[in-house]
Amino acid sequence: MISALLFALLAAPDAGPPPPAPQQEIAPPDIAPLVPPAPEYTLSLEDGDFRVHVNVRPGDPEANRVVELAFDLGRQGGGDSGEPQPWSGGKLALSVTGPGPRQRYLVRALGDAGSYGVHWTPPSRGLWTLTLAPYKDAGPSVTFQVGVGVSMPASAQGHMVQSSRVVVTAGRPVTAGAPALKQIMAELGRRWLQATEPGKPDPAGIRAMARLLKAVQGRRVPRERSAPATEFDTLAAREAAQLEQGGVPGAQSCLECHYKFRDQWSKPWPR
Amino acid sequence: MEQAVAALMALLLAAEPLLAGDARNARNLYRLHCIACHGEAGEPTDVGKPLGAPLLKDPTLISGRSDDQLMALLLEGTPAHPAAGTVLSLLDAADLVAYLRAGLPSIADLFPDAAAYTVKTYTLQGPALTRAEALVDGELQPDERSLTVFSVYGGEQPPAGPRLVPQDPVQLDGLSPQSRRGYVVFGWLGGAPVAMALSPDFAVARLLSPNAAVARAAPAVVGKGSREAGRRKPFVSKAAPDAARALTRLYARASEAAAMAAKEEADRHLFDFPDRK
Repeated sequence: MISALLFALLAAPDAGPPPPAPQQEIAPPDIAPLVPPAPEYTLSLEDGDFRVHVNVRPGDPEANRVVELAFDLGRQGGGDSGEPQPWSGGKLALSVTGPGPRQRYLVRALGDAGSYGVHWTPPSRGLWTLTLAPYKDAGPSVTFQVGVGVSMPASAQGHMVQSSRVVVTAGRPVTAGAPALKQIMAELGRRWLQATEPGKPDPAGIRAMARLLKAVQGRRVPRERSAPATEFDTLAAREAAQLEQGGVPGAQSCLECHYKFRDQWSKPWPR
Repeated sequence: MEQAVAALMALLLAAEPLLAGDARNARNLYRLHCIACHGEAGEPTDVGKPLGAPLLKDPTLISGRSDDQLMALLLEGTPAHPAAGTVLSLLDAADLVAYLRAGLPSIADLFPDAAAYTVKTYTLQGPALTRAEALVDGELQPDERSLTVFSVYGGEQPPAGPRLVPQDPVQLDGLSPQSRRGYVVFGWLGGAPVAMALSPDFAVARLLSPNAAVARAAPAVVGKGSREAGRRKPFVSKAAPDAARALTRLYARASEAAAMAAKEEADRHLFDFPDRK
């Protein structure tokens, strides 16, 4: 009886309009290897009552590429029971020593309680020692090591390391999905910086940029803007064509698209 | 022994300069997001000019805004500047602000013990304009009649540099005239910025500029000047006569504008207890 009903439903000549095709939200899968999600490296450290959770992004740092260090600071009250309370009373600095000049950076509060961060671009590969410490008043003082272009060190760094692991952003394997528009644009920016540095340009890198720009065409326009979606595709196609011929677009070419489709501009684009 | 080593390490760390941002990352961010309008050297491009892009290498523009103000401009935008918050993080903005400040003469360069400063633009008119024009022996152009004055104060120094105190009566009241170190103004000479520091008695305390002519003229300028307008004389330098004339022009405006700042401060503290003056 049930199977007869199912058969009748499937065999019905017109069961209503077909479901709409899913909107193209993701880029063609062949560009996924060009925009790999960056791994993260995390550490949990202790200094007395203080608990310091360190997140290193990307988790496989390279020389001359910015590393974001995010610190979640907490203070364990009442023995070891319960969760640490976020600690935001600090004026903190990060000192870096290793195979390059020793430097000291102001660590900034990021808004959320206990959340601090700093950027650091390691100038050379090797094992670097980083010390987070207060520059004024009391606060946590922890030291840890980061491998730049080399493996991350074993977890014996003078402070108790409770965990040390490498995770992939959003817990997805690299091949699970294609990158979002924002990731593609960030990757394009990174490659554009490389391509416009003095020296011999990398033709393969420029071709990869053209593929990325082709992949963003036909998507929804990122925001509700005055310019129509077709113009977004036209601008992307113009830049892709230039890249395919080995030319790297100038900053003002990129700006025209950012101006019309990304930034909150109210004035018309100057002709 | 361990405590001694730790104390020594703490002393060594404290002696190192504290960097407000990552200059290498900022340079890349500047090339990615700013250069199309603001140009490689901070000069507006052909695209930037019609959009109203200012001269980013103007020390008055950069020193006259706090880190928080500049970061808010970058992240949240204004009607005249796009909000880059979708592509810049707070740390990116902090890096960029540090990058914009680097390479420009700053308040801390002129007064190393500065802890705080205020900024206000004054327009010369009436007797002040007459006195300034008498010193330069000529007429000041309309765009020369306004000058931004930085009043600099000592005290406990913040690690990342002196703090900009807003023009808020309560906060201004916390600045004691006794801790005032002097005044700073910025001008231009041969396309390069010139920073001139005045002591509380309006003598030129220090000059900074990448322009070599300023260094040649400095012996004829530093230490000269007076609180009394009648005792101010034009600077004369055989080594760099044109620079001395330009510096006289800047000083004529600076001394009058600083006098206005000093008068405002005196008025604010008119009824203070004598020990606070």
